[in-house]
Amino acid sequence: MASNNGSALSIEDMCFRFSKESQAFAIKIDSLQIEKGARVALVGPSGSGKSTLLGLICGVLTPHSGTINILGNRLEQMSSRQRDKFRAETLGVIFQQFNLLPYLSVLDNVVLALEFSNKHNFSTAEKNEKAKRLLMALGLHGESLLQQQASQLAVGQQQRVAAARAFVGNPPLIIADEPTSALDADRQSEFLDLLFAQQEQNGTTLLMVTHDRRVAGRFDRALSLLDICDISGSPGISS
Amino acid sequence: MIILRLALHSLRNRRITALLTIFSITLSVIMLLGVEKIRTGTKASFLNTIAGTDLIVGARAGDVQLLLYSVFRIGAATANITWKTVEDIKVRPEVKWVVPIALGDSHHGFRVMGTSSDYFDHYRFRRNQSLEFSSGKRFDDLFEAVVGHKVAQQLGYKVGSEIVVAHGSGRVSFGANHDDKPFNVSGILKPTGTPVDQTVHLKMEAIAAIHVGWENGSAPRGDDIKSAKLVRQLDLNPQSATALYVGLKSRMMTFSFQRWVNTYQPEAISAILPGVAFGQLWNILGNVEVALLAISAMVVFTAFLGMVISVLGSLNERRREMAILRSVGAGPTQVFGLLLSEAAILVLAGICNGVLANFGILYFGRAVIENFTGLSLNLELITISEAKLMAGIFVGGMVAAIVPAIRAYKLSLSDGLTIRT
Repeated sequence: MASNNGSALSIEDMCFRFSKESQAFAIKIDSLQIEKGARVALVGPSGSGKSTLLGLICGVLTPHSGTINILGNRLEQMSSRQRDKFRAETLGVIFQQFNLLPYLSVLDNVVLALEFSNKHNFSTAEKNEKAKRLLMALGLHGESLLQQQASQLAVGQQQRVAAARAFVGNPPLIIADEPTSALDADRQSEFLDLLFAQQEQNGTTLLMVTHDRRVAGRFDRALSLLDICDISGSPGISS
Repeated sequence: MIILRLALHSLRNRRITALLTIFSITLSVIMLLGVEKIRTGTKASFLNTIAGTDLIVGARAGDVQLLLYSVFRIGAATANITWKTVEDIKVRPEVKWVVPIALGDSHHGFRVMGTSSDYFDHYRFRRNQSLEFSSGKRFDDLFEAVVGHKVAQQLGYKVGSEIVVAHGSGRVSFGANHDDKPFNVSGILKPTGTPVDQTVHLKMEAIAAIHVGWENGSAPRGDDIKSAKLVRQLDLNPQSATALYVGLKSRMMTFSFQRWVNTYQPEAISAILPGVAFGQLWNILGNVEVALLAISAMVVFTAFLGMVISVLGSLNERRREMAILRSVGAGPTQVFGLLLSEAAILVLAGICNGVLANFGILYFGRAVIENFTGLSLNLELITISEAKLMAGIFVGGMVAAIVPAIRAYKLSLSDGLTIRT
């Protein structure tokens, strides 16, 4: 733990292959360091291995060699159950779109992020209170809106609900996978403002994948996936 | 807990499919429970066709054959028992009562049975229930008859109706009728669900009376014809009986008395214990019921198959949902649990609905069923054996649900957080 005090995420000599065959899709990263509290954009075209990289960071995929260190915790040394729990407690995830369970209300979708870890041992009322506060901060208020089925929201609203869910457990690291690509330019910028405001307030580390240079320009640091990753084979084969 | 809540919400979201699945499980449960209830009801009613009678004595024959003709009026006796033998049995110290029956004639396809008035005292069915009259009373006069519920219903008889007995047991009697000696219906019995419903009861003496002059086996001619009035003056004491229902003073004596009957020298007769013979007969008939139960089980299986197909079909569109769940920290095991919980809810709802619907049908339909078939079904929400059956169905449903749950587990493991459409 001591060795990575300053890093939120540190990947070293990591190699991941989808299968043992030599032609199969593989991704190699020599070194990737993301310091705590930073906003980092990962920029790369589709097919540059971003889904795989996110899967590795979130602990649903395991590297074949090397280390993935999140806040001093070695992911590759954990069991899959431990990684699930770790993800529930440490990471907030925002997808490109369709982030919400269509059959839950807006509020329940946010609270969902608190349900799979023991760390967030709040009462239902406390959970709802936390969720409501965040939704409010992200510009979503009104009891009727909170009780609405998630599937009835506009895309922009859905993304903000997803952001609220990512932040609700106060995770130290937020992973966002092109959360703005489905939004128009105005909404994009508005969404990023809200995202950054929350990130600053909580001191969260934000790692966001995007293919949009303009969006990437608003981050502290923009890394090119093609520079970091060494990719062979096609991810289309078995992904 | 969260998994169960998600399962409920998810089912509500797909309520049409869910309701249809529950409906099909409900129907199959109703069918299975219905068959089970009828099966146990029929068995109980069958085994209780005759109660209170310790032994049935007839000409020496197989147990089942003796039971078939003496109780079900199916087939014919190999021989009759002479009245001398009947008297010998009556005076045995073990014997409490003897009711003779005489078979051989028929009335529009219904069997005619001669017996004594004691028959109405001693014949018991369904755990000690006595015969009751829906109208009229026992036969008193020589030419009076008591008819079963079905006889009266089908032939439209009322107390006072006149009936003619046909010689022999066929539906068509080839003109050999005892039409010179018509009978009046003195009473009609309530339905019993036993062969009594289909029997015309006459006095033992009446059987003798209508056969006066038939000693050589064909209708009497010329001087042999005796009018009904004349017949009354003859000695009509019965000369023989087809079988005897015997009640003993103590159950303990059953086997020694049976041995005495079976070794009775003057005539070849045998005694059967109705319960034992019924058991033998049920072993033959019982297979039909098992087949019915097997068919119902297959209907349940089909309902589960429908559930599995609908869940499997929806899995692809639910991959996104699984990725979301995994992103907030759910493991593949929890995704597995979610699918299994959904199935558990569907199956449980189906079982509960089925049990309740069955109870409702029984509650409202019991009287009708009893009236039409004589089958008396117990009004119980669920018996222990039915509860076991339902538990079996639940386990079966869970086993079936494992198939899509495993598929979801594998999908969520390979998909991870990658959202696919």
